[in-house]
Amino acid sequence: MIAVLLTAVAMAPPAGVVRVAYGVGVDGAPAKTGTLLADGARVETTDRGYGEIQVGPDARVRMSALTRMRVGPSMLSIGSGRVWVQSGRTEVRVDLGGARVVLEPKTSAIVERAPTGLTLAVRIGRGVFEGRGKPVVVGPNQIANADRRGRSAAQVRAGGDAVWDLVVREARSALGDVGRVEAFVISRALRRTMLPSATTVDPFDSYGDAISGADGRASGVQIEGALRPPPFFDDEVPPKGPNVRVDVTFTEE
Amino acid sequence: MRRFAVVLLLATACTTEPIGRVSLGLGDVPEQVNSVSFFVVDIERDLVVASATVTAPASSVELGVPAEVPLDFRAIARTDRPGPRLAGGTMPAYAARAQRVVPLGREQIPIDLLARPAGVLSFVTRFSDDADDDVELSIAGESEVGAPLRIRVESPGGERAVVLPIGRYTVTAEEHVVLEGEGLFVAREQESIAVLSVEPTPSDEVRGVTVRIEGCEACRSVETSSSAPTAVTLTIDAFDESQLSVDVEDAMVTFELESDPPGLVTSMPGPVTGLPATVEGLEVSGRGRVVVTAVVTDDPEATATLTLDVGPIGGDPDHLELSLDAPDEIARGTELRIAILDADGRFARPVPGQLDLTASDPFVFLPDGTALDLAGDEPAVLLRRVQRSSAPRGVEVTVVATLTSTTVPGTWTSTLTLPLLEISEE
Repeated sequence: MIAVLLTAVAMAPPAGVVRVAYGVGVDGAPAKTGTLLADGARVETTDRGYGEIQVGPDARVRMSALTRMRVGPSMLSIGSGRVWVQSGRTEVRVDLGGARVVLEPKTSAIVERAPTGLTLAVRIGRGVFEGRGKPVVVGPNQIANADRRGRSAAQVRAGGDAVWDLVVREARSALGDVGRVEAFVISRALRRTMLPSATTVDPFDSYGDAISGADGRASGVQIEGALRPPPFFDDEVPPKGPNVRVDVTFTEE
Repeated sequence: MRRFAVVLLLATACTTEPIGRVSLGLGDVPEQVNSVSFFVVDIERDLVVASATVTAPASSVELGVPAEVPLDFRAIARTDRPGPRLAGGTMPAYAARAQRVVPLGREQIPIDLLARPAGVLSFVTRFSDDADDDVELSIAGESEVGAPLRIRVESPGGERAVVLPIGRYTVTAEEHVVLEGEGLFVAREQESIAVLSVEPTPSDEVRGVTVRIEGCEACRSVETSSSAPTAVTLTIDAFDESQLSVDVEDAMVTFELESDPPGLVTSMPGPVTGLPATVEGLEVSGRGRVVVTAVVTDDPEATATLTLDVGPIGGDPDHLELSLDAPDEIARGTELRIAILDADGRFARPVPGQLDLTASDPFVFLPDGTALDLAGDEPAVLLRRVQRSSAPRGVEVTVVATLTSTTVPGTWTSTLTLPLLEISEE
C-alpha cells in the first residue's frame, strides 16, 4: 500500500491524453482513447491516421496523417506534419525546429512543418511566429510562411482558407462517422466479390501491399484506388491546365 | 472587331464552356500596342513560374500557376518601335502589376490588371568597397499602390533595365543607402538612365558637418556696403544619420576661404574647438563670390562648404542667374541657387512675387516643390533642393525658373542646362 502511494507521488502528472485515435501511436505502441501521454511522449499518426489529444488543462490538438510530435504540458514539438491546435485557457507553444510558434489563449490555428517549409494559419485568436528574423504576429484569417529553417522572415498575408478547409475536412472524415455507417458500407464493399475472377479483398491487406497494387490484380488496384482517401479533396485539386485568366485593361492615367 | 466578338459569342453559345471564358473588350487595346507579354513571379522563390505573349488586339491569357503562394502578376504591352535591348528590344508602352494568392481549387480565377503608360529605367549599380556583394533594391513609385518592385543586384553588376509605369520613383536597399535613389523619373515610352551608388548605412554617430550663416538657414548672399566691410557670423553643426544636430566636444575646426575676385575677404575667422560652434571674425566687402570651407581635423574628419554671393543691393529685378551649389553632386542632390539681379549685375532689391519652376524638365526632381511665393523680404539668392538622378540617354536636362513680380511689372525667365548623365559598365 505504501509502495503504491509512493509510486503515485513520484509519477509526474500526464502532459495530455488521447481523445480520438485512428492509426495513432504513442511511444511506438498503438494508442486508443484514454491513453495518457507522459511529458515528452512521442505521438505519431500513420499514413491514414488521425488523432485528437488534449494537452494541458483544455487545449485540443488534432493531428493529420503522417504527423510526428512530442508532447509536453502546453508545449508541442513537431517533427513533421500538420496539427490543428485549439488553445484553451493557457497559451500553447509549438516548436518547429528552426522556429517556434506561440499561440495565445483561445486561439485556433493550424501549424505545419513540411519539407518545403513552415506554416502558421490562424483562424481565431492570435499567434506569434518566431523564426530567425523578427517575431511576426499572425492575426485572425492570416497565414505566415517561412522556409523549413525559419528563415526568409515569415511573411504574413491574408488567406489560408484552403489549409483551413483541409483540416476541417480531415476532422469530418475522421470524426464524422459516429454511427460507423461509413465503416459498415466500406466493409461490405471490401468483402464483396467484384468479378468472377477476382478474389475477396481483405480489409487488413488493403493497408499494405494492396494499396500500391502489389497484389497483382487489376480489380484490387481499382478497389483500392476507389476507396483510398485522396491526397487532396476533389474541390481542392486544380484542374489540368490554366487555373487563372489574366485580363489587361488599359488606362491613360 | 465587332464581327469577331459576335462570332466568339455565337461559338460560345453553341458549346458547354462557361461564358466567362470569352474575352470581351478586345478593341480597347491602344493602337500603338503590338504585343502583350505576361509574367508570373513566385515572390518567395523570386522565380518566373509562368509567362506568355499574345499579339494585339488580344489582351488576356490563361495560365497555369502555383496555388497558395504569393504571386506577382506583371504585364508589359509593347510597341513595334525599337527599345532598350535589356528591356526586350522593343519599346514598352504600358505596364501593369498586381500581387495575388491563387487559392487551391478547381475554379479558374480571373486576375484583372490595369495597364498604365510606361517607360524603361536602365541603371547600373556601383558598390562601395565596404558594401555587401549583393543587395536587394526596392523600387517604389510615388503614385503606385502595392508592394515595391524588388530586384537583387550583385557586384560587379552590369546594366539592368526595368519597365515601370511613368512617374517618380525611390530606390532603397536594406542596411544600405542608395545615394542617387531619390526622385528617379520614368518617362512615357522613353528610356531613362541612372547610376546608383550603394554604400552601407553609416554606423558612426557623426555623419557630417554643416556651415551656415547664423540665424538664416537659407541665406547664401551677403549684402555689402561701400562704407565698411560687412561682418558675417557663421554657425558650424555636426549632424548624425538622422540629420539631427549632435555635440562633439573635441572637434577641431579651421577655415579656408576662396574669393572671386580676390580681395573680397577682409578678415578671416580663427580656429575653434567643439561643435556646434558660433564663429565670428569673417568680414567681406565688394561684389563677387566667397567660398568658406570649414575643415574639421579631428573626430570626426569632415569638411563643409558655404558659397556666398556678396555684393550691394541695387535696383529693380532685371534678370535671374541660376547655378548649382555642387554640380558634381547633382545626381545625389544639391542646391539650386537662383540669384535675382538688377540691370547692373547687383542684387536686385527684394520684391514680392512668385518663383515658378514648373517649366523644368520632369527628370529634374525638386523635393521642395516647384513654386515659391516671395513676400519681399527674402535673401537675394534663393535656394531650392534639386536632384537629377535619372535622365534620357544622351539628352541634356534643363531647369527653367520664372520670376513674376506683383509690384514691378515684368516676368523674368532663366534656363540652366544640367550636366549630361552617362552610364557605363565599369
